[in-house]
Amino acid sequence: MKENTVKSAFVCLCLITSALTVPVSAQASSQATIQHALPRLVKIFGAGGVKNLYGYSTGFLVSPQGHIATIWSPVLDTDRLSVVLHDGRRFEAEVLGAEPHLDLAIIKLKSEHELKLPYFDYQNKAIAGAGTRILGFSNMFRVATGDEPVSVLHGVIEARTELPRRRGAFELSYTGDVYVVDAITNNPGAAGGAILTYDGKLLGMIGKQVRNAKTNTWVNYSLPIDVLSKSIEQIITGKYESSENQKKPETETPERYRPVDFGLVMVPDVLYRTPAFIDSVLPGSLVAKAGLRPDDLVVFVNDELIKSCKTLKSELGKLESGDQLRLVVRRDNQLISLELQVPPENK
Amino acid sequence: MPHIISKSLILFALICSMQVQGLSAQNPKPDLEALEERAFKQATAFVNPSIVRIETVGGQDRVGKLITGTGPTSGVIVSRDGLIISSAFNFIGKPSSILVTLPDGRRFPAQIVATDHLKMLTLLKIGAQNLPVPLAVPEKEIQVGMWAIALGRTFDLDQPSISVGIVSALGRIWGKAIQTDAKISPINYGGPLVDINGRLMGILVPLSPGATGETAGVEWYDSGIGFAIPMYDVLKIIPRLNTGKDLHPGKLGITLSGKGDLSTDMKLDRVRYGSPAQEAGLKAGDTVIKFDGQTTKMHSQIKQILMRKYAGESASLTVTREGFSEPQTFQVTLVEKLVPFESGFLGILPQRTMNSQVAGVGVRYVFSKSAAAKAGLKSNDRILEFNQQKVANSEALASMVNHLRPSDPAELLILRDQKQLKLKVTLQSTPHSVASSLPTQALPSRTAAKNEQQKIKVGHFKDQLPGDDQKFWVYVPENYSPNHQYGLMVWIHPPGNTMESTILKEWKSICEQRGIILVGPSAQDVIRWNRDETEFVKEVVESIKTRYAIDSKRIFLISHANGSEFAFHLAFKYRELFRGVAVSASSIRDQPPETDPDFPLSFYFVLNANNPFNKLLQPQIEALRKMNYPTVFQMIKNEKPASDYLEKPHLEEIGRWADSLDRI
Repeated sequence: MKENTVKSAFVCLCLITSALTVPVSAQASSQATIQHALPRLVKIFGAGGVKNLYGYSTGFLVSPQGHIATIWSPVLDTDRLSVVLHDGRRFEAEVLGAEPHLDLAIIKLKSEHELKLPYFDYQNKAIAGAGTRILGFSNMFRVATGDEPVSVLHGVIEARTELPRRRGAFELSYTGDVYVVDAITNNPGAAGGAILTYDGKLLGMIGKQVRNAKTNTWVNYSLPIDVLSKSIEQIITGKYESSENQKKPETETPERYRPVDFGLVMVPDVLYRTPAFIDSVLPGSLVAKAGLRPDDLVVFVNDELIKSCKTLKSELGKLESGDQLRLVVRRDNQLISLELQVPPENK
Repeated sequence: MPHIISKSLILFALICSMQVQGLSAQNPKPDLEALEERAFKQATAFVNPSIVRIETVGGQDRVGKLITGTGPTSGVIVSRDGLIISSAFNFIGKPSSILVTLPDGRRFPAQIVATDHLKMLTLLKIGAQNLPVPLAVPEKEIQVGMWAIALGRTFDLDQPSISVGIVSALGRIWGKAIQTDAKISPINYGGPLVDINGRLMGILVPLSPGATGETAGVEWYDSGIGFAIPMYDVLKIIPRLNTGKDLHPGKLGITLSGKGDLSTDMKLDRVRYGSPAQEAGLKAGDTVIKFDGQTTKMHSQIKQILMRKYAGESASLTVTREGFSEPQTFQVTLVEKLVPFESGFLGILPQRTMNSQVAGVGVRYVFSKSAAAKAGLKSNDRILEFNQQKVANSEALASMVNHLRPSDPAELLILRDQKQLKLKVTLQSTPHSVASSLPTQALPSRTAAKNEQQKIKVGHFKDQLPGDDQKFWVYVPENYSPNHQYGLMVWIHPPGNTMESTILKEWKSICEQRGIILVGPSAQDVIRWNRDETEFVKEVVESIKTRYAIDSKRIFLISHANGSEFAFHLAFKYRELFRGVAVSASSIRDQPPETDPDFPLSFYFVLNANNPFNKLLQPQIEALRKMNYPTVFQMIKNEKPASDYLEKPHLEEIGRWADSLDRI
């Protein structure tokens, strides 16, 4: 809830600022931004080329010495990694470091001379809200060959939001906010590309192809630069500590409480999505005292929508002794909410 | 409403003033891109309070091949007292409970009021008051090329998702929808499509020009082809939906001759029996000149009008008809469903005779437990009248019975032992089974020598059509007599194998016994049947019909394994020619046309239980029976390979089935 208010404040701020601020420069335009960005995007060729693994991806320069931010993917898993600049110059490259949790890798061009390449200032952490015009730059479908620059797409930001991903093949470990855009940016080989505001601010790195679990559709998203910025800097300067070792995300949901611990007997869970109807209420139990009745449908547990008996189980399982439990049930055509104190765990 | 208008005026003024400011103050060159971006955001902010989030509980996890999403969807407030319109797609899983969250965070349980199955919208009701109703764009202001902003409330409660595009077309999907290139997907189905001022243009829904149904068009998500039902249409239907009754697309029941939407052949090819068109008095052969008051010269013009109409609505159809100098106008009331017609069944086999001198129809056989059996009809009775109408021959009797429905009463006047007798019958449905025994009708027999004398070819021989090199083989029973009508079995061989010797060996005796001629056309290339070879098969059948005495009521197709696909294709294409299809070791791929009392068609399926088609076929049998096609289904239970050809008991049963195709 707190996060939501922060977020909404942020959105409001964005709306206001975007309405009030003057454009960055007099020449701010999509055309100027494209001229600026194309020399800073690179095509990456590496391992892969079989079935669904594409042997190519995209990256963007983040230092004049040839540091490139890109997607952490099997493409980089090779000794013969090559990078082609917008003008057709080809370099060998090596992986400097990676932050798998953010799907981020930094690679560096190998060169005997000092390189003075154009680059993006990744430390200028621009943030933008829904409706902001964006340009997407990527080596999608490897359509840019030789000295051709990468492809440019345009659209607007649909939302900056936490992305629910479908479990399975396309799962990402990253769980923070992403930019969802209405341009079809996430194509084969596009990952590691960049999205910019139309007036030239670097906003984020185009992510892998994933499906939105809630709608079961492919989603076009980018990882925000304000999230990536710190890790990019740490890897370049060699002060990198992988977050991987610090914290392992919990893989299994705890099952500390069952519905019956509160006095709830649910209907038998026979369907893929059995609605969480209460079958009976144990006499004298917590929920009986709170006034719940058979046939009430549990719809929210601590503001999480209860889609089925399974989600009810997992939501109750997460509770800890002493937590407040806010339940909302639907009885006929009314929503009834009540609050309980979670009892000590029954071992 | 005035309250909202004034708000919009303020916003309008705001945008204008900012544009002026932009021009004068900061920039020598107006930054159009920035102004537009600002306008997108402000349009969103303007309509924002009217976009709700919809969450569902329970329901199916998949609908057809589509995995239903579990996430929230969007809706738009359409009345101050809690009516919310959304896309029907958002409820395809038939959720057991629906919750609506307003942008201010208040939550309400919602109920489905009704669904519009034509425009794919669902109306919801929540118990809230004083809700903000958005402002709609007047119909004539919407133009192709205008900015179109698609909004949804699935990601975050506090900020709608935004996708920007333009209006790509108007009146799309047979006049139903605004098309936009903004990205439309489950993210914003049910949400609004607004103009640059934040006024409502329409409600986003998935649609498809070809398919219908709740999931049609979803495959086009985020493709640059998205649809919205125009708000002026939505507002028109809300009072109708609010009565709680679902709206359905209206059906008429006609087929035009000529193919394709651009065809200008406006002649009615078929008028479906029992449909509104038929009941209004339209007939095949009429030429449509006006529909619903509008002149129609092309198929697509009929579709444009029809596809916008709901069941229960009326329309007028003006046609020219042969024999009438003036155009005729008919009033039709469209229906939700064209009920498949089911012919009545008396339960007899008529005596086959080529002598038309004797009045009435002789009864050859009475099916047990049939309507005829219950009424006491017996073999050798003669039916003289049916419902007070003289019966000239078996074709006439069949036509009268076929145009009635099961459980319709009828009266027979029969002749038994030289006495006339009246019988009352109640017609039944044609059974999905074959009589377990059926005496053959006595056949006049001739010697092969006599046939040779008359240059009638009998026995097994190969043949070609004159001027055509495509081959076919024929088996005519040796004792063939031109004084009797024979059945005609058309063998469609499976791709890769003509099976000529097997088929001849297995069927020869049954053909002799039941009076059937067997013909086996060969595919041009034995590897496969091309669909354009239907013409050839038809020509072969016609040629046999002219050379031998063939009973047109007993021409049928048999096939095995994957030859069946072509056999069904033939049967559905030439309905006037074929009366039955019997296939073994196969399922049915083509969608059959609706039943028609003028062209009765029966099916016979036989399949080994361990054939992988088994699972596929069972629901198909159900579907055929639901369409009221008499459909026999036999399962073989033995250890033999699933693709083996049939054995005696089933061959004999198909023989009995074929011998009763002229049943009435």
